[in-house]
Amino acid sequence: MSPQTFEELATAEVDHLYQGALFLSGGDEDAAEGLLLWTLTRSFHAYRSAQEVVDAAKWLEGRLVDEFIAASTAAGLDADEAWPGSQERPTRPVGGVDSKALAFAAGRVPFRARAVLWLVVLRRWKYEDVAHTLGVSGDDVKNLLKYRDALVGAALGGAGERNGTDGGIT
Amino acid sequence: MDCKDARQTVWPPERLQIADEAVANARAHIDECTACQDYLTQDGALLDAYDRFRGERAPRRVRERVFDALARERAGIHNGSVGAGRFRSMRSTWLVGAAAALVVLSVGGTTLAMSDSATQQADALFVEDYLRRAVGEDNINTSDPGEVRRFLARELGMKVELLEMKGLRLAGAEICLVDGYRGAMVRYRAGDRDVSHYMIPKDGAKERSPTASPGVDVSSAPGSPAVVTWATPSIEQALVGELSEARLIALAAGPSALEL
Repeated sequence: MSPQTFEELATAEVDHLYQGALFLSGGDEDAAEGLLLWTLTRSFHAYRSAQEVVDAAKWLEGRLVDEFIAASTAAGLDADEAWPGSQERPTRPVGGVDSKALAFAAGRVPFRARAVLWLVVLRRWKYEDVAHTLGVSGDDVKNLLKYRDALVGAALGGAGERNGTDGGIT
Repeated sequence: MDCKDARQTVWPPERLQIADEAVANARAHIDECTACQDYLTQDGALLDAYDRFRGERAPRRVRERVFDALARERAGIHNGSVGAGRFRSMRSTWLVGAAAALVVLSVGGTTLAMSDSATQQADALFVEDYLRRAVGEDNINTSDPGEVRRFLARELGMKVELLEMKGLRLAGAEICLVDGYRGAMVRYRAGDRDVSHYMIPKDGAKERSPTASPGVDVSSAPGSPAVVTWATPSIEQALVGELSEARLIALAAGPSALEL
């Protein structure tokens, strides 16, 4: 049993998780609220029975993504749904990206890629941790990260020409 | 070194790295490569955009739903302590007293000894209320009766009769959540002592006179609060305070010339 009560943990993390839920839900506030509620309720029981949670905040992030993918899968969404902009790379800097535009842009990216982008690009998770959490290979994670360009392009309201000599940091 | 290797070497750019040969080569590549520079600029911009996102708090409605759900989960489990750390240390005395009062409220005034199960129920109820306060900003600190009435009318649609007694000073009001019911807790000061008045709208609450809560052994510690409960039509009420039961009963009985 972890020394911190779950309520204390949730109080500390609820804002941050809600923001993650908004990103994962593509800016849909109702969906984000449902995801957050479901994640924390389910995590409450898991936390009580856990022997030790080393990094509780990160543990909750992983659970948020787990629940998001489970819900998206159950809803019959296609994890690998192609998006026309996914192979294009924006050339402009994205200094002016609005945070809400970023969330809405996330909604245009297939859900599994969205989860990976959130964890790696925005939460700075290591590839191996993401792969472990999602139950996929490291190569899968790298492939899904190619949607980063789609995310940037959508956030900017359009994608530019491909630029650079590879597919990002993958 | 190509773009892929260079980016892998320096990413994430905000992480401090030992400037070994690989890092030096990567930086040299990036200095000459506009694609990599754009890439890292975009990376930073995405983080900046997300950071702005992070400046926003979850809406109060969301926080309420989350913590209400957690409180229900906790209450449904009836297992183990709920008041570790900050919770117990901050309000140990009031926790027990108010929890006892809320147990009484939750059973409609039935006298209830603090058995193990009742203790757990009290814990759960008080945690619910505690969390409700923790997540919201539903409180007002003022000695202005009009301000408190307006606050409670706005938040609860409730017309509240404030307590009056010489020596009793209004200190503020909060929204509470007891057994799933939203209600008001009006705070008073009597000298250097606190008195809290809970009012929980509840359908079917039958009128009854203020009585102390025998059997609710809140604590044997000095300074433990006394608890008095009563009901007016459709409103369960309780007073919890560091006053004698007789004083609380007098206070609950209505406007009084008595002095605290």
